[in-house]
Amino acid sequence: MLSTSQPTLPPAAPKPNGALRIGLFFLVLVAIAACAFLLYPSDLFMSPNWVPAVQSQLRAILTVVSPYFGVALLGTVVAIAELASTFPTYPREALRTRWARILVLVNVVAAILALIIARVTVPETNPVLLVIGVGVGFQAIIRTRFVLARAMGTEEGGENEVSLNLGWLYEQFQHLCRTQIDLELMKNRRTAVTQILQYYPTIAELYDIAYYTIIARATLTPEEEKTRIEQLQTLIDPKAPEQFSRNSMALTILENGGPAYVEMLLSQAMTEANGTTPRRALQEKLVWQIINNYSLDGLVELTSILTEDNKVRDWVKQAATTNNNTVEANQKAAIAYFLVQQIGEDRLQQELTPTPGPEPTPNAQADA
Amino acid sequence: MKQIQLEDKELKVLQTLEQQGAMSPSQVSASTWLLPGETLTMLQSLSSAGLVLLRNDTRSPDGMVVAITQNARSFLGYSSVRSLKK
Repeated sequence: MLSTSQPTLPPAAPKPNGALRIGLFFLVLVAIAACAFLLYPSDLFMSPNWVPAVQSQLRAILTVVSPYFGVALLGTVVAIAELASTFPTYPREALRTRWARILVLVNVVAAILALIIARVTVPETNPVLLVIGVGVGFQAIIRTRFVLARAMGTEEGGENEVSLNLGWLYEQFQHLCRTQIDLELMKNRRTAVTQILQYYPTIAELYDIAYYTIIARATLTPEEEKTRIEQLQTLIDPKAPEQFSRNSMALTILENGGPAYVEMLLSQAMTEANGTTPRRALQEKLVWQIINNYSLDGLVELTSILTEDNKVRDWVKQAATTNNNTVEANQKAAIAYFLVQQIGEDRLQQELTPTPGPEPTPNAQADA
Repeated sequence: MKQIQLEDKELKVLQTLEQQGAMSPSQVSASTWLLPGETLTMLQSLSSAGLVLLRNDTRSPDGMVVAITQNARSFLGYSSVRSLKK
């Protein structure tokens, strides 16, 4: 017999880091205060003597530092954009990994080094143009492959061409980072799939959620949507093994909905599981209880006790009649679902719960 | 579109599956008032026609699960548009 017990609750999702938020708030506050201090017209108002000196020193430092800060910012933006486009379903999770930080850091350091070299070699260039040139140009150059010559009528990237691949080294590094980030994300994916399967164990639930996740996506083209639904249909196909179908459907939900959506689904399921009367669970429990405790004849009798509606009684009587087209499990399950729908969960629950007998008297206890 | 001729009962089963999602054949019986044997035979013929997908599911009380296919959804959409036009 199959168990219908509630799955255990998975560990709760980590709460947002409050310390990080407070830290960011103070950082922004310090930045605003620094800006206000720098823009403060000290010669117009009464201010201590040290203020103008500190202001001019700070302005001088900023003039030196800001170009480096500019190229570093551009490098960070490009690296983040690359990561987000490589992992479109999990951009936030991908950015949190160690190798994503390494990729961003390498981009920033390389951009700063390029600016230092440019400033040393062409010191007279306008600093603004230099920052834009290095910030954008360097990022483009390390990702570029120059084709110097190609045989006519051949495909791009084939053997019959002479090329200078300036981005080869960066490509190798990018590939390494992508693989490592993917491996780090695998652990989270497996956890999410396991949790989905804990709370949505039946193929029917998984299929419905996966289907509606696909059709609810606003950014999918009709062709993409069609392809994904066809892929989902192959998973419910009788040829696919049952456990493989379940795992793949859970993965489809995660891939199409993303981690935040899965978290929402899990929190919904957890709320239901923690509630006093989870409707879906109660219905399933009742059906299993009816199937396990009653024979087909018993179900006919139970129906006649529960209702006086002749249509319902007749349907149950006919459904319980032995025939070659179906098996007993199917007949009992159909009657059980039918009774839940027609009689109601509360009334059935009342009927199925054994009534406590009278309290045994002291004499009866002694006799026993 | 391929011509599909369906009886009223078959249409009712497909509409139930479209509205309520994937379910076990016994739930289909309970929702449509069709007898279990009749439902199973009908689902098998709909499955052969490519309108539903019927497979085993050990977690379902009757050991099976049935879902409507995209073809059947398109057909139902097409037929509902036609009935609206009438």
